[in-house]
Amino acid sequence: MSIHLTAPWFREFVQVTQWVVLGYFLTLTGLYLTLLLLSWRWCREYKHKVMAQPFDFETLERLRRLVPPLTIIVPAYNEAVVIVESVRSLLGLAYAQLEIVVVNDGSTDSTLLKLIEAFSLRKAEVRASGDLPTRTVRDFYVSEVEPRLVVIDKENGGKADAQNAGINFCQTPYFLVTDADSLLEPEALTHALRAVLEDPEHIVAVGGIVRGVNGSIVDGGRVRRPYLQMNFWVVIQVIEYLRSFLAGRAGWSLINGLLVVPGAFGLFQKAACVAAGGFSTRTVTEDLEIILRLHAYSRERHLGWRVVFAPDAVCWTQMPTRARALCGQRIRWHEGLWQSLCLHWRMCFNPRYGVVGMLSLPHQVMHEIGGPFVELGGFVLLPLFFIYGVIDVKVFSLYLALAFFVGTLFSLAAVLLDQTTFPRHRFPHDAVLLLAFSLLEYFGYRQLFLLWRLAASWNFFFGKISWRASERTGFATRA
Amino acid sequence: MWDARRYKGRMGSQSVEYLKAAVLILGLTTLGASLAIFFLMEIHFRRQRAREVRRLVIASRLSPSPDEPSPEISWSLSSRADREIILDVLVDQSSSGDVKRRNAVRKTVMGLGLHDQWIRDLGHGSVAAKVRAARRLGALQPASSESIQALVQASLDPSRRVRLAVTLALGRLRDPDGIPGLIRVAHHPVRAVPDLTLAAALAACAEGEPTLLSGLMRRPEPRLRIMATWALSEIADRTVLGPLLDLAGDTDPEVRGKSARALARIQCPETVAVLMRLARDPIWFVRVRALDALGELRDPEGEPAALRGLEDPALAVRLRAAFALRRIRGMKGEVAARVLSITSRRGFNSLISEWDRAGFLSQVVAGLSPCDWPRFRESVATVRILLDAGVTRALGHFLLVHPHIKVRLRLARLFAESSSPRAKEELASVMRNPKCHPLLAAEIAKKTSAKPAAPGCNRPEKGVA
Repeated sequence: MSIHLTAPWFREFVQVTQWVVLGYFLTLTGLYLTLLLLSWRWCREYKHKVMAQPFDFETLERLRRLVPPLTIIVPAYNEAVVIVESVRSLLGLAYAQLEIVVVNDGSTDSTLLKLIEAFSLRKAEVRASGDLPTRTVRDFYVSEVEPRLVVIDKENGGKADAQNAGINFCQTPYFLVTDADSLLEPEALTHALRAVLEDPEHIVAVGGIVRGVNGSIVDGGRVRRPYLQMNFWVVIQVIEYLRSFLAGRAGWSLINGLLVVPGAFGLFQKAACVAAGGFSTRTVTEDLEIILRLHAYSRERHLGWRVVFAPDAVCWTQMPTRARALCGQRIRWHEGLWQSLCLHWRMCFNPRYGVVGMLSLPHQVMHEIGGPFVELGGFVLLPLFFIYGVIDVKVFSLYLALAFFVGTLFSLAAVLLDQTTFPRHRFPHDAVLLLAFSLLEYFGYRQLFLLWRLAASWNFFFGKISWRASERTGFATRA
Repeated sequence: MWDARRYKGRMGSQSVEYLKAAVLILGLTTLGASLAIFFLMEIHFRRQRAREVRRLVIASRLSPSPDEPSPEISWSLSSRADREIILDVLVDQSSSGDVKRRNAVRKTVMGLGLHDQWIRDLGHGSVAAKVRAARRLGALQPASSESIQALVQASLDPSRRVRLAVTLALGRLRDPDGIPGLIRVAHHPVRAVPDLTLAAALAACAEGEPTLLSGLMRRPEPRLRIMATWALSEIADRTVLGPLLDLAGDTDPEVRGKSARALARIQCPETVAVLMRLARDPIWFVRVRALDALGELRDPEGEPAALRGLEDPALAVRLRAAFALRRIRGMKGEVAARVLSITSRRGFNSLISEWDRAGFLSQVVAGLSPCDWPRFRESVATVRILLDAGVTRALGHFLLVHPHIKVRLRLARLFAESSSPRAKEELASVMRNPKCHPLLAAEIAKKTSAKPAAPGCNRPEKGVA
C-alpha cells in the first residue's frame, strides 16, 4: 500500500504529530524550567534557614530531649551482606531518642542469623501491636547489648508489608523508613526533624536526598570520603538523582506538589500515616503511593498537610552498577508509577486536590507515562517521514541540538545547585565528570531508558509485575 | 492541494533560521554558563579556603595569651576584610570563652564603638546588617540594657530573618527584659521562628524569674499558652506551680499535655492528684503524658491510674501505663500477677511487652541461679505465673540461649511442671531444635517422656557452662 503525500489524512496526521511533539517539548521544557527556578528558590531559602541555626544555641541543647523521639524502620529481605554494617551505622546516628526496628521480611539467606550474632539478640515477649494488617509476625527480638534495637521476624509479604509491621510496633510520633543497603549521615535525622519542627502541625512527611555510595570510602558505617565510581551506570544515575532531587523535588516541595519521598529516606508522622492506612501492598512503589494517599486524605478533609524535601538530610545508597540491575529497578519504578496513578486516577486534573491534582499528577501522566509513547512514536514516524521527504534534515538536526542543549543546561543547573547548597561531590573533579557524562547520556542511555519504560508499560498491561531484587555488594571500606 | 515538498519548503525558510538562532544561542549559553560557573566557583572556593586560613591565623593571634597583641592593636592594624574576621572571632570567643576573656572582648568592642554601631545597624541597616548585628549583640555578654532594648525593638521587624536572629540573640542573652520582645515575635502573624526555638528562648530568659511567664499563660491564644508551658517545663520551678495547675484544666489538649510534663518535672506531691485527673482525659495523648509524668514522679498514689491505664483502648496509653507501673512499683512478679488478676488480657499483654523490653524476663530468668535464695524463690514463683499465663515465647528462647546450663535445666523443669499447653508445645519445639543442648534435651525427654531429637543434632554449644 502506498501513501499519497497529497492525501488529506496524511496532511492532517503530519500536522497533528508536529503539534503533539511541539506541545510535549514545550510543556516539558517549560515545566522543568519553572521547577528549576522554584528549586533554586527553595534551596536558597532552606540554606538561609540552616545558616540561621534556629535549633542551635545553648538553651536548645538543654531542650534537645524535647525533640520528638523517632523510630527508624528498616525492612530487610535477603540483606545478609550489608545488614550488620547498616544497623551499626544507624546506631551511630546523632539523635537523642532513637529506636531502630529491623523487619526481617522472611529472608531466605542468613540476614536474621547475622543480626542475632552481631547484636546478641534474644526473643522478646512482645504482644501488643498496632492495627495495620500485615503477614504473620513470627518473633520479636531484642538486643542484650543495644537496647535501642528491635528485630521483627515475619513472613514474607513485600517491602510495604514489612514497613507496616514496623509501624505497628513503632511507639514514637515520627518514624523514618530507610533501606538496609543505605547509610544515613550522622546529622541526617536532625536535619529532617528540623524541617518538621518548622511546622509540626502540618508537615507530615519529609524526604531526604539520596546519593550514590558506590566508590566512596566507608568506615564504621559512615561515608568518610565521597568518591564518584568510574562506572558509566553509576555516574549516569548520580546525574539523574541530582536532577531529580535538586532541580525537581525541591521545586515541587515549595508549592506542596511533591509526590515522592524516597524509600531510602522518608520521615513520616505516624498518626498521619496510620490514618491514611499505612503503606499499600498493592503497588511496587509504596513510597509514591503513600504520598499520594496522604495528599488525598489531607485535601479531602482540609487538613493542610505538607510534604517537604530536606536537601541536607543525606542518605547514601548503593546504586546498581550493571545495566541488568538498573533495568530491573527502573522497570519497577515505572510499573509502580502506573499502579499508583491507576489507584489515584480520580485526583488527576481534579481542582479539589490543588497543586497535586492540577500540576504534579498531570505532569506524571503526560510526561512520565505518556513520554515513552511520544518518544516511541517519534522513533517509528521519523524514518517514515524521512522516506516521504516530509522532514527537513536541517530542521530536525537543529531541533535535536536544541533538545540536547536544554537537557545539558538542566544537568548543569543541577550540578551547580549541588555545589552551591550542600555539596558532597568533589569540585572540580566530580563536577566535571558529571557534566561530561551528562552529554553522553543522550547517546544510547536515553534510548535504553525508553525501552525499559515501554517494557514496564507492557508488564503493567499484561499483568507481569513483580518485585525485582537487586544484588548487594557490601560497602567499600578503608584499605 | 497540499504538497509535502511545499510543506518542507515552507518549514525550511523562516523557521529554520529562527531555530538555528535558538540553537546557537542556547549552545553558546550552555558553553558559556559551564565555563563561567566553573571559573567563578573555582575562585569562590579558593577565596573561601583563603578566608578560612586567615580566620585560623587571626583566631590563634587573638587567643588569650599574655604574649599576643591585644585585640585593639590587631583591629587598628587590620584591613577591612580582616576586621570582619576579627569580629567573628571575637564573637565566637565571647560566647564560648571564660569570664575573663568575655569581659576583655566586651571591653574591646565597647572601646572601639562597635557596640553602638551594631545597635544603629539593628535599627536602620539592611536585612543582612540587622541579622549580623543581632547575632553579634547576642554573643556579647553580659548584655547592656541598650542592646536588649534595641533587640526588643527589632522584634517587630518585617523581615523574618531579622526576627529569627533577634529571638536567638535574646535567648542567648538570657535577660528577663527580653521577654516582651519574644512575646512580640510569637504574636506576629507570619511565623518566622519555630515554636521549639521560641519556647527555648522564653525558657532561657525566664529562668531567673519564671513568674514573668504567668501573664503569657493566661493569654487567649493557645499557641502562646503552649509555648509558655513548654518553657516552664524546662525551668521546673515551684513558684509557678499555681498557674501550671490551672493550665492542667485548659481547654486546649496540647496545653494540658505539656502541663503534665511540666508538673512531673517540678516533683511536688500536690501534682499527683492533678495528674491522676489528666490520666482520665478524653484525649489519648494527654493520658499518655499524664501516665508518663506519674511514672517520673514514682509516687505510689499513682498506681490506680496506671492500673486503669492498662485497660485503655489506645495502645500507646497502655504501654505508658506499663511504664508508669514499672517505675512506681518496680518489675516484680507479684505486680505482674496482680495485673493478670485484675485487668483484662490486653492489659497484661501490654505490661509484658513493655516490661520485657526493659529486661524483666532476663531478670527473672537470671534469678533462677540460686546465689540468692529469696530471689530464687521469687523468680520460680514468677516464672510459674508467667508460664501459666502463656508467656512462653521469650522464656522458651532462654532455654536455648541462656549462658548457664543449670539455669536452662531449671527453667525446663518449670516448663514441664506448667499446666499451660503452650508451655508444653514450646518445650517440644525447643527439644526439636538442633541448637538444644543434649543435657537439656535429655531432661526435657525425661520430664515429658518424649523422644529426643536424632543423635548429632544436639551438639553442645561453644562457651556453655
